[in-house]
Formats: sequence, C-alpha cells, structure tokens
Amino acid sequence: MSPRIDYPQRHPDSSFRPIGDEGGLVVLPGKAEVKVLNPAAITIFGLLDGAHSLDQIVDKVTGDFDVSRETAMADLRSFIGELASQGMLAGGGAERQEQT
Amino acid sequence: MGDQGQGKTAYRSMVETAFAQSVPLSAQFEITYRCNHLCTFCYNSPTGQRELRTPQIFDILKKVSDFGVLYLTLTGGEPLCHRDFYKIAGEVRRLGMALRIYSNGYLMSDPKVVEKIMALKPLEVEISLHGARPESHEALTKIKGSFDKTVQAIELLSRAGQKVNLKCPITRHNQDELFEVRKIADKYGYYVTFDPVITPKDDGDTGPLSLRPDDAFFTRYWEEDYIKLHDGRLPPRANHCAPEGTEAVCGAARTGFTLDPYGNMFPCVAFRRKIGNLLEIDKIEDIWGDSPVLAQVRGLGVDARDKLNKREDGKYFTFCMGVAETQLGDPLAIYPQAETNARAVRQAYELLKIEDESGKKSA
Repeated sequence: MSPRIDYPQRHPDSSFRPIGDEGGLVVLPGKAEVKVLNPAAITIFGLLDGAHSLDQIVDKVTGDFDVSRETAMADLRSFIGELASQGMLAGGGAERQEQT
Repeated sequence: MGDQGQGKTAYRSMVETAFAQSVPLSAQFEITYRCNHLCTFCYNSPTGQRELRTPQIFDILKKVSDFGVLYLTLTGGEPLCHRDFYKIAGEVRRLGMALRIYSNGYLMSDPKVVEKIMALKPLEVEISLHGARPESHEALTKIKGSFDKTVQAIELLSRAGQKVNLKCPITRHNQDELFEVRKIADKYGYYVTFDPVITPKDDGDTGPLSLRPDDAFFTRYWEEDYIKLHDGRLPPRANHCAPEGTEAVCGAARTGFTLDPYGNMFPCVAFRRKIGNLLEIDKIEDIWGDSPVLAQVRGLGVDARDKLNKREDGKYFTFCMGVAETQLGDPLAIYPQAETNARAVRQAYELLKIEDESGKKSA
C-alpha cells in the first residue's frame, strides 16, 4: 500500500511565473523564498491545479518536451514528492489519495 | 526535474532573462495617497482627482495578474489608510500574486492589525524607520508618537514571524544615529537598508532636498560607516536597479512598472512618464509592447548606461533616470546627489585600495 496522488494541486498560497523559455519562478507559501524551476518543471507546476491528472500532465510534458512517457512519469512522481516535502502542495492532493 | 540550479546564481540568471525580454516580474500599486503621516520629504504629488474605487482597483489587479506579474507591492500614501486595504490585499493573494506591503508601520502597532496582516501571508513587509529616537523620526513624520508605534509594529511583526525589511532614508535629522537604527533592526532580527539619496517630489518640487545630509557625511559614510553598518561588506561601486553587465542602467519599463491611485501606469516609481491608464485598456499587453513611452524609456536606459560608461568616473555612479528627469528635466542629466555620492564612493575605493567591485582589496 502506497499513497497515490492522482490530481495533485499546488499550494493555494504559492505564486509562480514562467519566464520566457528559461523556466520560471515560484514563491514558496508562507516563506520568504523564491524557487527557480526549469522549463518542464514550471510547465508542470502550472498544471498542478487539482483538475489535471498525472496522465494528463504526462501527456502535456511528452508533447512539449523530448522525453519518453516512462521517464516523464517517473520524473513527475519524483518532482511531486519533492514539492510535497517542501510544503508546496495543497492538502487537496493528499485528500484524493488512493490505496493500491 | 524541478529543483535545478538553486541559489542566487540561478535566480540572478532568471532575473537577467526577465530583464532582457522585458518580462515584468513586479509592480507597485499606490492604492491611495491618503496617509496618517505628514513626511516632509514624501515624493507623492496628489492631483486632486478622485482616486480609484475598490471595484476599479480589483479590475486593474486582474489585468496586472493576467499580464503575469509575480510580485505585487501595495503602497501609497499609506496603503493601510485605504478603507478596503484588506479586501484589496486579499484579492492580490487570490489572484496568485506574491504580496509585498510598503508601510510606515503606524497602524501595525495594533496586534489585531498584525493578525490580519499575517492572515494575508505577505512575502514581505517593508517599513520606514527615520531615526533611532522619537525626535529624529518624528522630525520627518510630523506625527507625535509615531516612532513608538512604528517600533511597536516592528516588534509585533517580528514576534509573528513575518519577514520585514526596514528602510531608512538618510537625512540630516538621522545622519548621526545610523548605528542606533541598525541596533533596532538587529534587536528584531531584521535587515535595514540605508538610502543616501533624497529625491524631489514627483511634481518636481525640490523642497525635500533640503533634508539631505551634509557633504562631510557622505565622505564618512562611504569610507567608514557603510562598512561597519554592513558587517564589513565594502561599498558597492555602483548600485543600479539593473543587473551589472546588462545594457540598461535600470529595470524601468522592463521588469516592473508602477500604478498610481488614478489608474495611471508609469515605467517605475521614480520615473513618472505616463504610459497609459489601465481603466482605458482591456489588457496590459496592448500597451506593454507598443507604447512609444516604454520604447523611449528602454532606449534612455541604454543611453544612460552608455553615458556613464564614457565617463572616467562613471563606474562609481549610482544613477536614477527618474530623479534626473524630475529634478533637472532631463533623464540623462547628472544630478548633484549622484555626483556627490560618486565622488565619495571613489574616494573610499582609493582610500581603501579596493581593486574591483567584488570587494577585493590590494592592501
């Protein structure tokens, strides 16, 4: 049994801004910190709205970037874990956890 | 996938990209010119027009957010004097922008106000401290009791865990108590920025310049005090509002803009050439790319950088085109405060035998 987040949602207090083709900036919720994300990551961060599933996000990433579906999904799960550990995801994702 | 190249270098690189592509990361919104202080050097110049109503402010915030601004600063006047301040600040957050508040801190001396501020989760609060004691602070604010209230606000925000930046414009009233101002900042764990340049009012009135410190102060400040006040850090040779090595002298019309309480848009808080009125356009993109004013200001930024590069002492200048235009009517004219500071910084570099802006010393 491992928790799974099907519809991840960024923290509602986070602010973010894509910048050109270089990536983008994210302001961490409740912290006076700014995080720099690469182009794929800022694209994903924008899709973490609680309405896009992991599969839909991977569809978008594989459409925009030269990466296999397997790699994209693995990277996505890793990225989401990273965001969760830094308090950058909303509780909404956790509320939709499923048991596998 | 995400956490790449963190640290100042990655952030600086991103800011440089935003600068090069004229992507506006930040905006300042003067939501009202009302204020509970009577600061003698305040640069605001109310026109007597009716200020924006709250629904109009919401409409403009939506346009700013849709344009992609990341950092939105609410300022004034005193922004907390706006009767709908909390609604407006809440809207900034609801729209997904990071909130900064520039305040004199007076109203934040009330714990209930600080509680409401904390609920907004601002990225930072910036508070002006004009001295280390009531006499000096209140000589500028003209409000009895304002020093104690501002310090009380700083204490309450510190206890609440809010990030606060203190700023202290240096005047003849406080020029001899900067170390005590630093002590107040230290007491609450905050950083204080000392600003050695007093500017004219937005309408060109140079009255505030009479408050500037004497020339002897500048020599002492750059040669001795700056280093002590900044934990041994050497003075910057130039401190422009743009990354070093970029083509323009500042980020005006590039990485930010300013809005006044009437909805007018300007290249920056200091450079008050009107770009347009946000009530009259559907979206900011309509004027950001094509505005002749913005094109002109971007070009002037490059001209100013070129002009300084050609001067033998240009590398010691911190130069603001807005101050030059307001004070002398020419955005490329060298104004006396810039010259005085440059001369003092140069003397300091020669005295301290600093070889380059990285702070490397030859002796």
